[in-house]
Amino acid sequence: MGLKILIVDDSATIRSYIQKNIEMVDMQEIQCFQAKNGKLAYEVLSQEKIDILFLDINMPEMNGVELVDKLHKENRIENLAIFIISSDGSETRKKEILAKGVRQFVRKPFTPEMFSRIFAELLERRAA
Amino acid sequence: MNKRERDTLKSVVNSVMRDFAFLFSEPALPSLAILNESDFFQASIRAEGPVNIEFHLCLATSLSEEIAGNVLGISTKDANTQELSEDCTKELLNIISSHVVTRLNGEEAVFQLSIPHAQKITKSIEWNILMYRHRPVTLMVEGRPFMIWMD
Repeated sequence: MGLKILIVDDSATIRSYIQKNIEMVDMQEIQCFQAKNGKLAYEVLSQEKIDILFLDINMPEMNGVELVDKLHKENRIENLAIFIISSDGSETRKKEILAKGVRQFVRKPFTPEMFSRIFAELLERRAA
Repeated sequence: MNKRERDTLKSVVNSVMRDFAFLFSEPALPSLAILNESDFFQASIRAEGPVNIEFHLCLATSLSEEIAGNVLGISTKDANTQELSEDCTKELLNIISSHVVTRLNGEEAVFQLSIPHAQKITKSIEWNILMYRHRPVTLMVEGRPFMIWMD
């Protein structure tokens, strides 16, 4: 069964970087979507059955925390693996977000090796 | 900026450059930051939290293109690299400032960062004005000058 992945970051560089790293994974049927803020991401999430969400925090329109809050209130987080990808280093904020059902908090900058490891663990967990 | 702030900026820029763009920075005296280039990006971001801090950086456009090229694994001559160089400069400042506020204020502090903005500078005299007005941390990255300051 294919995977649908949504990458949400206001930086086009980071969106391309994450997508490039995903494309290096030896797995067929991965479909990537991109959005540059939480508002546009919410629209994609309403139209597509997304499996994995890579989400930045600091974005215009609707930031990552606001999107997580909205999805949490609508009980839509359970079937969605959310990975926060942010440079934010606050443990306080990290605990608050993880408490809402976010899978993992990955701090920028991350190397391709770090990303591959996270992604491989995620795929293993899904296969189990 | 006090010594702790300057040292933190140097250390964070060094590690972010290494991990994000696979580039290495080294400290440079302002007088050594001789310019062979006339096109620069100046980017700014504001962090609001227990204290409010504004971060600014300035770097040669050619360096920002190299950073974008390294991040995406493409040539600096690629049209995408040139398109993404401004975006990459803003993201670089976003990452650096997040790490600096955590180092200076601890992991329990919560900061809200603004959306970074950038502008192009096309006269090298403006680089000199910024350097003498703000007394930034000056570094050389792959032989090209880079300055960063906070206030």
